[in-house]
Amino acid sequence: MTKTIESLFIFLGTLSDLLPLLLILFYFKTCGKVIVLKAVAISCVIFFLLNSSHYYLSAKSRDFIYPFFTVCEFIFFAFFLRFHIKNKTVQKLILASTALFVLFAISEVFIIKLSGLDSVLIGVESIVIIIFSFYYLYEQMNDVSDQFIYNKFHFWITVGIMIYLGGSFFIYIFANQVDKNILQQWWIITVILYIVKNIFFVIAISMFIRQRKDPPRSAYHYSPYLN
Amino acid sequence: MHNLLLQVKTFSGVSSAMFLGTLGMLVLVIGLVIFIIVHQRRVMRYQFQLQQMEQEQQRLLIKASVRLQEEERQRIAADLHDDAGPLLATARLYLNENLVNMDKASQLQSIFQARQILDDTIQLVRNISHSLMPPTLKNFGLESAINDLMQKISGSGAINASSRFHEYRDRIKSEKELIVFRIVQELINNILKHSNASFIHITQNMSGNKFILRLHHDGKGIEQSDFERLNKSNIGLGLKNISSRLRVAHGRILFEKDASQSYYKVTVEIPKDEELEPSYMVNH
Repeated sequence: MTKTIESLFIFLGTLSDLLPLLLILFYFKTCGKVIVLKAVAISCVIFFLLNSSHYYLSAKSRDFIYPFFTVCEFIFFAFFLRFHIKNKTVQKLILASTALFVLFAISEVFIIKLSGLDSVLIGVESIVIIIFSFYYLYEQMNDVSDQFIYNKFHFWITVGIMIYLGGSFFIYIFANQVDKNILQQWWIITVILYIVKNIFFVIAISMFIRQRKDPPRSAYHYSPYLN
Repeated sequence: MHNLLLQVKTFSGVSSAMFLGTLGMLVLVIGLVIFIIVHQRRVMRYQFQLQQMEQEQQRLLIKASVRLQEEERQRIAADLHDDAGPLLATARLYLNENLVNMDKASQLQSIFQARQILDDTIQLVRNISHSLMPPTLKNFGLESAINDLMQKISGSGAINASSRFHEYRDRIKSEKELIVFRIVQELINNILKHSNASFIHITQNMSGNKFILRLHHDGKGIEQSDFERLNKSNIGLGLKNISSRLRVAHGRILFEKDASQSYYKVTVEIPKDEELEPSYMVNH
């Protein structure tokens, strides 16, 4: 029974990657012009293929899937944050950390010969991305120029990333230390958070589409005094 | 058995750590997001209030400026209607059709009277014109106009007024001179009306690109906080007028007490080379 529910959630988690992708494809005329949304669509395809790999790949050939998934995730999240953070130094820092992370992942896989779920790699990814997400929120918090933070589509994508990485952080950290049976019980939480992340992506994309049709007015709009 | 218990204990410890950690992280992230949303809303609302206050002040300034303009027009209309009108009517009476039927002596008498009245009218019109645009200012510049004004005030004997320009070899633009002159007129008018001062002294300096004019007096004055308060209230039309003129010239004014605490000091600062607000160029 438990196994069936777990399998169902894993299946739903895999399918949830298609939600943002389908929405972008359906409104491609609107979304196709924005590079970040194109990146979201590409990442959704990659994540869907990787997540569904256990349906078509053998256990042995899936050894590299986890580190590869982590690296792809890091590159996508870092690219997204780099695109929306205005501070040039932090932008450079994101690029540098991405390069370092990729090198670190390569060394973990090819030199240390780690395969399967790697707590250290995922832990580093979560910490780095959460720090940059905090910085993004801090920057947005101080930006009171035009509209409320929750009217921006990238805010909801960042919230999705933060909830997913923050919520599953401890499970990934303990992944290599706990019994496989216990990990499977907890794994369902990471899948739920992954679905939540994709739901946030869908909210962000639909908000973007709606705003393209009906642009939001300034937060506190007023008629200027005519002098 | 002991090993199994230990294992269960360890697992439950890790599980609770995972549970608490996951819950903690989720609470932290959601809490942070809520805090950021609330904080940003608060900051934006505060900024909006500030903007509204600024708009309200601008509205008051414009209202004061329009009211002052209307008062000036009414004064000119009253001067023309009450003084120039009757004088010209009287002159017309002296020069009526019966003049040709009068004897030579009466004719001369009437013409002389009419001429006297016309001279008075010319003088009156000249006074009105001078009050609108002082000729000294137009022909000889701000330094001469202020010196002239101070001499006239001193001439009354009630108050000792003087001025000294230290660095005014290069005159500022004539529009700015007029703005400074009107501000000085307004300040002196206030001092004469409200301060009960026994002396007024004006000094001029340059500080970099800034034209600086300082006015000292020993009467009852106001400080910057009073100026800002009056500027925001519905009273203090003259002060609002000063503010609106300074805004046009991108200038500043500072009301303060002298270091000795015995004099009041007003400092007017105007950038020398900056252009005036376009609206001022259109309206004037």
